[in-house]
Amino acid sequence: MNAKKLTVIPIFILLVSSIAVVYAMWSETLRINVTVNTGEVNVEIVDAYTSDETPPPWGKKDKNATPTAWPSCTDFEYTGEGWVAVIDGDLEMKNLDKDVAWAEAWISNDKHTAYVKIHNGYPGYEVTLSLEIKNVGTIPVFIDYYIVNGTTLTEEEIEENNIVFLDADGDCEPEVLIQLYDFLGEQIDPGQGRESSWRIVVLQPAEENSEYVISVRLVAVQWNESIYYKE
Amino acid sequence: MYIGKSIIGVFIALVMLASIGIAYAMWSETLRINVTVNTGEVDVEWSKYWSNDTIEKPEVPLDVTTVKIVEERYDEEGDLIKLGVTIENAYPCYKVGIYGMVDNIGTIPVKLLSATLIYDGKKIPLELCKWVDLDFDGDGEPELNVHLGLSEDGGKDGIQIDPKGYDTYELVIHVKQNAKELATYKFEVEFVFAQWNEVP
Repeated sequence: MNAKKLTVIPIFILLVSSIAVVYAMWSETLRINVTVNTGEVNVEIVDAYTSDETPPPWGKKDKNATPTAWPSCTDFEYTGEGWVAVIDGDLEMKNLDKDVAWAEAWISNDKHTAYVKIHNGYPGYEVTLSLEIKNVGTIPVFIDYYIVNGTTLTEEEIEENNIVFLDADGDCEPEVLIQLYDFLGEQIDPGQGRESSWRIVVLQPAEENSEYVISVRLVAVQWNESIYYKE
Repeated sequence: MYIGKSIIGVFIALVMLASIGIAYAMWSETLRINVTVNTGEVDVEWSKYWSNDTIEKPEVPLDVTTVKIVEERYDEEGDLIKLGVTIENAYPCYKVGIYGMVDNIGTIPVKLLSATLIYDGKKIPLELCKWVDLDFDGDGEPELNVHLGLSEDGGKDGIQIDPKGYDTYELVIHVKQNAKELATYKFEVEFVFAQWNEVP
C-alpha cells in the first residue's frame, strides 16, 4: 500500500511539471507609478470697510442717494430671504452738511463673510462698502455669480439690471437697496485679488428702529468649470 | 565417465550458440544529428516618455497643474522598466495624457499580454480603449478615471512589437468631480509583454 503511494507521488510531480512546460511563457513587465496631488479652490475676503466708518461727530458728512427707478409689485420675487426686485437704474447722489449716520464693516474669522452695520440710518442715507477678495488657493477661479438675499445674479443679468431692492415685509415697498459692482467673469489667479465697491441705500419705506439684513454671497468657481471660461 | 559426457555437452552447446550468432550477424553504420538550440530573449523597455500637459496661460505665465515624469527603476541590464508620474495641483476636470514608448530590445516579437491597474490593494484589468474608474474612498463616487490606448502603432501591427520596433501607449488620467481638495491619489499600471505566439 505504502509502496503504491510512493509510486503515485513522483508520477504526479512529473505530470505537473510537464503541464508547467506547456504553459511556459517568456514575458517582461513594465510599470508606471502615478501620483495625483490635487490643489485647492480657496477665496477669502481679506479686507472690508465702508466710506463712513467714523461715528459722529468726527466722521464724514453723510451722503444721500435716490434711485432713478422704482420697482413695481410684479418685479418682486419671494426667495425665502425676503422679497427681491432687480431692475435697471442708477443713483442720484447728494452731499449733505451733517454727520448723522455711520457704518462699520468687519470680516468673519473664516474670512468668508463680510458684515456691514449701518448705525442710526435714515431714509436716503447712502454708504459705500468696499471689499477686497483674494485667491488664496492654488487653482484660478472666476466669481461666477452673486446671490443677493436668495436671488442668483449672473454677469448678464447685472449688466441689464444692477440695482437690487429688498423688501422685508412683502408690501412692495422696499426698505433698502444695493447697487452691485460687477466683477463677475474676471479670472482671479492664485495670489491675485480684486477690489470692489458696492453702494447701499436706506429707502423711504424703511421704518424707525428696525433692522434690515442684506446678504450677498459671492460664488467662486474653479476656472475650467466657470460659466465664463472660454477654451 | 560423467565428467567426460558433461564436457562434450558444454562444447556442443557452445558450438550451437556460436552458429546462431553467425546467423544473426548484421553490418551496420550509425548517423547522428547534433542539435544546438540558442534561445532568444523577450526584452522591452521604456525608451521615451512625455505628457501633453500645457502651460495654462503662457502670457502670464501661469502653469496651474504640473506633470513630472521620472525614471524610477532599471532592471539588472540597465533597461528602464518603471516610470514615476507626479501630477501636482490637479483639479476636477483636469485631464492629461502620459505617453510611454515601449521598445522591443529583445530578439523575439512581443505582444501586450495584459495591463493591470493596481491601487489600494486591488488589481483591475485595464483593457485598451476603455475608461476605468478609481474610487479611492469606496463611497461609490470615483475620484479619478483612466484610459489606456495605443497612441502610436510603430509596426502597424496592433499590439505586436517586433525586435527593434516600438509602440507608444497613452495613459489618460482624468480628475473627476468627486476628487477632494488637497488630496493625494496613487495608483500603478503594470504592463506585461509576452512572446507573440503565446498571446491570443
